[in-house]
Amino acid sequence: MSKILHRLDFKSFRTRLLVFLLALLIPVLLGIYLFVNIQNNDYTEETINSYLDLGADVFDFSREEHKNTLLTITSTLTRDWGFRNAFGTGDPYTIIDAADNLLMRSLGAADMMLITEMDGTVIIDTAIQGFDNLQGEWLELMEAAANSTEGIADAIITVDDIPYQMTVIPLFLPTPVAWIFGGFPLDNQFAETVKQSIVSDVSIVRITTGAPRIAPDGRQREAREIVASTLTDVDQYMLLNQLQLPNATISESTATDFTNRTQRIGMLEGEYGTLVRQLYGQPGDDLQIVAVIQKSYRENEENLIELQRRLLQFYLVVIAASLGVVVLLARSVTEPILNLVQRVNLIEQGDYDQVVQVRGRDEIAQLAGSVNNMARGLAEKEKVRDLLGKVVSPEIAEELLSKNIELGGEEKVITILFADIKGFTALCETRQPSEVLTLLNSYLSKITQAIEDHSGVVDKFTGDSVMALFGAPISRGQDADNAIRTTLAVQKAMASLNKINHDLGLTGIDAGIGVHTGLVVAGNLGSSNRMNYTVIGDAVNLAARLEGLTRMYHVANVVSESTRSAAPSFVYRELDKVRVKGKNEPVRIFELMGTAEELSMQEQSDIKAFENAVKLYRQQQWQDALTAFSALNLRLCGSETYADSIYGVYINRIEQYLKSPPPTDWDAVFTFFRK
Amino acid sequence: MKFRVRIKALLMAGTILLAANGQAGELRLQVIDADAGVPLADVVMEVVLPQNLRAQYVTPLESEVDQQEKEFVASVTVITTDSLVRFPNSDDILHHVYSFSEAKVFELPLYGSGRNINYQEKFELPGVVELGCNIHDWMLAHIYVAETDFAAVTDATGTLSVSEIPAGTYAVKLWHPRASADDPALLHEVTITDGTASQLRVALTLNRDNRLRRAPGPSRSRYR
Repeated sequence: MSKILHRLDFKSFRTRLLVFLLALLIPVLLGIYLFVNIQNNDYTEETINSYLDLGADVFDFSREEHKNTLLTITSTLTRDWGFRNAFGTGDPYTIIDAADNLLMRSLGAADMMLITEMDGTVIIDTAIQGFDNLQGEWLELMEAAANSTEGIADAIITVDDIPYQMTVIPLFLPTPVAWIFGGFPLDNQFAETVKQSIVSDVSIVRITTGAPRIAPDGRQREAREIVASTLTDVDQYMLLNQLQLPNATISESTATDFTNRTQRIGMLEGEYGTLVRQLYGQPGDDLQIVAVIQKSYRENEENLIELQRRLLQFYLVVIAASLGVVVLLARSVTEPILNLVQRVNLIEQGDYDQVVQVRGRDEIAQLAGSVNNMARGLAEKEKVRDLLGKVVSPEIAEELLSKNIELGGEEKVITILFADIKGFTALCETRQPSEVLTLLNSYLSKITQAIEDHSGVVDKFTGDSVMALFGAPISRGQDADNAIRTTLAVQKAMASLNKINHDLGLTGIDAGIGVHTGLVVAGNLGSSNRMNYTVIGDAVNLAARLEGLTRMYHVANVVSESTRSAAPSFVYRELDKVRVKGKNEPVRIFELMGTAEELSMQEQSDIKAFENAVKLYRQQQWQDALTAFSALNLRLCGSETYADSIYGVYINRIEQYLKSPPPTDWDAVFTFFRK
Repeated sequence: MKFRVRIKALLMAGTILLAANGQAGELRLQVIDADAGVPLADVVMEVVLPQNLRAQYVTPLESEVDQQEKEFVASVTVITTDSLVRFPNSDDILHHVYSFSEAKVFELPLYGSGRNINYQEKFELPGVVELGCNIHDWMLAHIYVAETDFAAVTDATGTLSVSEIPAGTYAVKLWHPRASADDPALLHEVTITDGTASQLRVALTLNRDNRLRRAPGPSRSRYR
């Protein structure tokens, strides 16, 4: 079942529900319909059969009643003194008149009379059949009466092949002297009378076999003829053609079965249940008369059709109502689901703020609640991620989110960049704290932007300084290059910012940048439930020191030798060999000058001149060195004063050494004792 | 009718026999019902005298057929020709006495008790007269009009006796309402000798009683 259902590809839940409902409802309704139909057909059959049985009984009863009426009439005649007198005196004309009078006065209850002497000699016969002595069935009837205790008998006798219900009683004067036969034809009038009682059609059919019989008018009789009928002519014709009758070959019991069996005969206005009653003769006799009682199925079938119509109307209402309910039900399911789908789509797009309305406590409501909870959870996570991205760099955030966060780290070679805003403290003194913060943030934002633009990661902000990593947590390659480019970018950004600030009447701010490449331990630092991703090691400290050296040397940046080696495509000038605090090993420090393309000829020659001057300085050729630095300084400042510049630094040192020369083991390394 | 022709032949024979004799004797009859074996009442016996002797043996009587409890009493009455019969009505309802018999056609239209007490109907022709009542169809009585005085009807013991019959050999005919007219047991030849009583024993087979059954008692309708 479920396989079939799965195979049915429904576009909507509503369609599925509708199909299921119809699949359930229609067989049930169909079943009911068929059941009702069968029951009704059975009922119709039963009704018609009982009508017909009743009709046959009433037919017999009517015949009996008529017969009794006949007996009463003829009996009355035998007690009529006038008739007795006429008979007693043997006056045939009076007798005939008396009989005729009686027939006329019987209002159709009696149609013919025949009076015979006790031996069967015919005295009068109103039907004028032309026999002088009783014969055949007449004689049998008379003998039946003579042998009965009451002297009364009855039978159906054909007169000119027309069935007559006959009775016979004796005439007492005071002993029996004559037989009085009375009869009425089973004709249309009789059929109509019966029909009024049984509300069924009645036909009397004559069946003749053997030699054709001749009617009184000389016509040859058909094998089957309607003697009397309440049917229309057309229906009579159809009845004669379709009526099945037992023939001589069937047994008596079969014949009985046959007459008890209801035949269905198609008439002009539909089918008729048909029941046959043998009135005269036996199956196989030359002459048989049967009564055919018929009841139309139409009335019952009309009732059935009406019932079917009502049932179908009811079905339409039921199906419509069910469909309505299903649509509502489907909507009650699909609407929240569609809402949920929309909601989930929004969540997919990152909108966690819409809330699904939860109504009720069903599964869908539970689902909606779960989606809401999930959205809330996702929103919180996203918020965390967002916040993390703000607090730490996106890369670190990613690193943190993608891996299980655990304490510990890994050793790697990275490039560390420290950027510090110089002269910021002075700025603070003249400004409101909020203004200072805004200004600081604008600078830090620029620096951060430059770092992130070159695949750097901001490790932390410390006051007015930024620590950035290149190569951790993930190396993008050319870490040192990136750090150098970042340095250039920061310097450029600072320049443009300063230009704006200058226009606004603000004091210019410079950034000092220290860059070093070295081995660090990168990882999460802190306690198990509160930690930072960071890097530690000498390299970090050195980078920080280098940044600090920018103030000493009045340069924008200080780059370590290892970085310079890692990013050789840029132009540097060697500033000095220094021994920073806490380090015994002297390091060469450089200033990044830019790219070869950017530098002017003058600048390049200045660099060369500076490097020559430094060489002189290291060779302790103090005067020459002093001259070289002074020349450089003059070109830089336009005066003899050696203000805050690298040249000034060296001029000061040379002047110191001139006063007190350095020791003999002077290695030209400048040692810093403070941070 | 054949029956009558035979009777006439017998009567002629009887006449010849009687001529040889001149004295008187008695004839006794005992009749039983052949089927039931019981004595049969209402059997009429008539000794047929020759034509020439009849006139001197005819004594007209005055008789009576009463109507009691809606029945004729008696049911069979034997008279000679020219006898007078009264038909009084002892019931408190009306009766309509009639006869369409050849021997006597008459009617006494509806009359009640106390009426027609002195009215006498004269029966001139010999023969059997069936009496009926137009109101009560079951009422049936017969008056046997004999040609001479030598006729009588059996009583409840099925016997009768006719005396003073001149000696001779006669045809004797019997009659009963339910006997077939052509039953040979109805015709006998008897020789009467002086001072003796001749005995005739007959067993008669009766036809079915075709009389209408009497209507049920007055409880159903007091007009019955």
